Amino acid sequence: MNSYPSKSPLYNKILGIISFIVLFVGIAVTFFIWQYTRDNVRNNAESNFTREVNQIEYALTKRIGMYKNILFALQGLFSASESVERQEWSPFVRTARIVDYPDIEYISYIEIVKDDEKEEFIKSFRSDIRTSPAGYPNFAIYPEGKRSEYAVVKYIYPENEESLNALGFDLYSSPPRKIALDKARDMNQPVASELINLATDGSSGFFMAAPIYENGKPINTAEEKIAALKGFVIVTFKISSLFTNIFPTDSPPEVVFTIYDQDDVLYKGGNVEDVKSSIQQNRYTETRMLEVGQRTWLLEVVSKPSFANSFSERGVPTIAAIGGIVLSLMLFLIIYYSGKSVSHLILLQSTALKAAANSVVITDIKGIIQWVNPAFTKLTGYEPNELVGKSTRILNSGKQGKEFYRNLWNTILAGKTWKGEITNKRKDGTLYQEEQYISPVTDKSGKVTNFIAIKQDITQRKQIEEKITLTNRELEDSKKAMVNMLEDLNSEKTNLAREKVKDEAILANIGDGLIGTDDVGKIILINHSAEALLGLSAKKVIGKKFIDTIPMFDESKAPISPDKRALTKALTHGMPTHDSNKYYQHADRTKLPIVATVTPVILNKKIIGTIEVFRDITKEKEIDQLKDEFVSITSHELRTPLTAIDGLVSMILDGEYGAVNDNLKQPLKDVNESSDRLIRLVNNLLNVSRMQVGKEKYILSEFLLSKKLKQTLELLDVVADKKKISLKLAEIPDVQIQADEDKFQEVLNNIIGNSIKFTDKGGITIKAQVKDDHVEISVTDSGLGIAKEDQSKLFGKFEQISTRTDKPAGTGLGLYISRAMACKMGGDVWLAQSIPEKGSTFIFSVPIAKSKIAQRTKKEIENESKANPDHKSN
Amino acid sequence: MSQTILLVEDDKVLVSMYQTLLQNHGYAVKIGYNGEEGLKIALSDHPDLILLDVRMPKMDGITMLEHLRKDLWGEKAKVIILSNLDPTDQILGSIVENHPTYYLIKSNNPPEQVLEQIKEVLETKQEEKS
Repeated sequence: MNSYPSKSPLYNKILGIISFIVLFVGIAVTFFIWQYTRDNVRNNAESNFTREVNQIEYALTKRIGMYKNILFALQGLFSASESVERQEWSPFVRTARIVDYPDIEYISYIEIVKDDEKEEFIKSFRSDIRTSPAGYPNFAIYPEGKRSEYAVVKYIYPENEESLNALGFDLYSSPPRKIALDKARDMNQPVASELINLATDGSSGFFMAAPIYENGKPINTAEEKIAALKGFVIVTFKISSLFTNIFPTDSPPEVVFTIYDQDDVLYKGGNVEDVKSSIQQNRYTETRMLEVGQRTWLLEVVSKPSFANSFSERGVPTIAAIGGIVLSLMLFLIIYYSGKSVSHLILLQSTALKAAANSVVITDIKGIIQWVNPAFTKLTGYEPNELVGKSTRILNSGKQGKEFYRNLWNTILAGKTWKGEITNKRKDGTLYQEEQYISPVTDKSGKVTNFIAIKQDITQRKQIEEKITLTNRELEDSKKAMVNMLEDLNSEKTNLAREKVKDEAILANIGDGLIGTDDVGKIILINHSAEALLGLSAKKVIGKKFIDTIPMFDESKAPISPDKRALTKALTHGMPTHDSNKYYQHADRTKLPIVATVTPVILNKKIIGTIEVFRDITKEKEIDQLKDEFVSITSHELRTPLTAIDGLVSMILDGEYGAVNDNLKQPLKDVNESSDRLIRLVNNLLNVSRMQVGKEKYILSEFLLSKKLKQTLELLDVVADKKKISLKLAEIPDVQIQADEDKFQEVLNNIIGNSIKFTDKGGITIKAQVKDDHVEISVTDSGLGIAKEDQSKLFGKFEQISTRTDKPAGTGLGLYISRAMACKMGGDVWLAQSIPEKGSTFIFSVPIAKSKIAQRTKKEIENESKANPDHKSN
Repeated sequence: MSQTILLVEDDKVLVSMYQTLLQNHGYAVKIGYNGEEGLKIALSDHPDLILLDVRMPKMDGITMLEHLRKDLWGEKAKVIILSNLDPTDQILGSIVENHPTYYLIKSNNPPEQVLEQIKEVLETKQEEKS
């Protein structure tokens, strides 16, 4: 269409006709384009709105799905056991992590109580200390009045001032609640209630309930379900905190929504009133139904003014229409009057098309691209010159089959508009999804000459849709996992219950006393033996602090402070701890001698409680005492003839009875040595028995360590010299220590004496070093050493370590006594190291004067002598 | 001038042993075989030192000591309790403070040590006198 020949009447007539045709065609084309762009924009806005609605619906459905799952889990817990106790319930609920669902206000367990069981139920609830440590002495079923059946709130979580109000509330007393509960019972499904005033604080809310049937009973028919019903688990929601945090901000950005349960407004997402009352030209509204626990909620979503504006701003259809009509008129006038180039029309039209936000492509009948708008180049990445003259196949992603294209072509060649989604390929090879409207353009005779394709990129929308499908699938998976978990839980529970019965039978029947505590030392378990031994009843002591309820006394029957009790140590250090030779106070205030072992119960590296096993040692004590008395008396009787033998022989050797025949000297020396040993043995026996009856007196004083060490070593030097072994004293720190001087020396004598006895070569080194409140005196010898298996016996009574038969025999009591003495003075004696044939190191620790331990020891010894007065003289 | 020691002891063997020991070292020795005898000799002869056993027939050492301390001379008398009994609360309770009383366990103190203790105690007495 270039220029036309010069004027003639015919020509003008033809031109007039042509110009009318042009006008007509122009307007037709404009109308056509306007219609499609308008449809497209409207479609665009609509699909955006639908997307918003989908997202809201999805978020809500997902949240409600979670609540259902919680109910299923709780149903599992309760179905699995005969009766669920509070101790099982609360950790389970806690681990179910309802904090993750901030809109759940409470989870509670409702028990069905028949009228004839009512009194019994109340009585047992009040007295059952397991229900709550403090108990609920005022527990009652409310509202008052006689009904055939009650649905009573038995447990609630979390427990707080408000929630505990609900304990005892009968849900059957409220018709809307009863309707929901009956429905849940009949359907064996989570069922939601209508809007109610909550029993906890009267605020507005609703609950979802799931029924619990008795284990093993059939629940096929409605009658069976009623007969098997045991109770319900319910989760309660407050309207004020419903759907908390369901969207990052308080509502989706472009819409507001309202959730209705019948006529009640349950939830408002965003400022609904403002939006509804605002004046809007293009308001989008959609209502959907949500199925929630057998109730139907309505979700009404309304678009905000800003939503519609964001689309009408792109007022393409209007621009296209006005532009097209103006252009057509202009063209008409131009052709009609001056017959100028039609190419102007094309230019102007294409300018209008260029303004369109959606991609527009015009092709010929074979699909060869003739024109594209800038939106299209932007979408595909191709420049117009790369596209014009090419087939649309350039965009083919290969994602659609031949059948698809055949169908498309058939549609448009038949003169119909094709509408559909296509995945196409950009210049850079990436794929995008678009929604296309392809319309054929026909000439006057109805023959298709061109196609116009208007496209909208829907990649993003597709991605969201896919995500929704995916999360739906995930939700489905997690539901399956939950069901599996519940099955495991059920079988675990059954096993556990069986084990529990077994354990309880064992615990109840063992002869030793057994007391279990929780992590703060409160008694949670006490067996029959413990009750009998201590004269207590489980009912009275469970829930009380062990240490306060059962006082402990030491060997001299002085009270033991809580921090020194094995239980406290076990709870703080997590190690099994013993209390030997202690006394528990019986309910009649007599003292019961016991030994106890406290073992901490550790779960996941946390101390969750303790088990204490203790034994009555009255009989052992009596026997011990008899033995001690016997030893004491016989020792005295033994001493007198020994004194004579020993004294006479040494006098003979000293020449008090005249010169001694040389032949007799050695045998006499042997007699002397043997009698000396016999005397030592008797002395040690006396020491042991004295110590056991608490007769040993300790006089603590402060003195310089180095001085006392030197003094002691002077005496021992003589003995060491005889064996030709060296006795070395390393540099000794200049400290004052606190001890009984005689006892200190006795302990040291004993340890060093032992080392000398068992050392033939080399020597003995004595060192000392300060460690916190103590001085540790170490005695290292190069002697025989002690075998591993003998080391544990070292400090026992009468344990003579049989290293070699040719070795000097000791009394076997030395270390036992030394250790007892050291401990009494606030220190200790232990074997630090021993290697057979290489030697041993013993350590004797003594408190430093004025240290904390020194002061404490002093006080203890003072208390003892007060309880047992004694007049000591020089 | 030899010093006199009163030995109050019921075991004949020990009497003989201590007697030999003391006489060999230049002491004059008087003997009471029980607390009664010992008290009588002590109050009449006023020995320089009394070696006193505890467990004896008729009158035990502690009773004798109690009687002795009631006497004007006996109050100040030097006494070494020489016994095989451990000093029990009862024994220690009978020993009045500021009265020169010592305690030795026989079996733990061989003759020569007993002798040394005696010497020491006697010397203390002389110092006080001077």
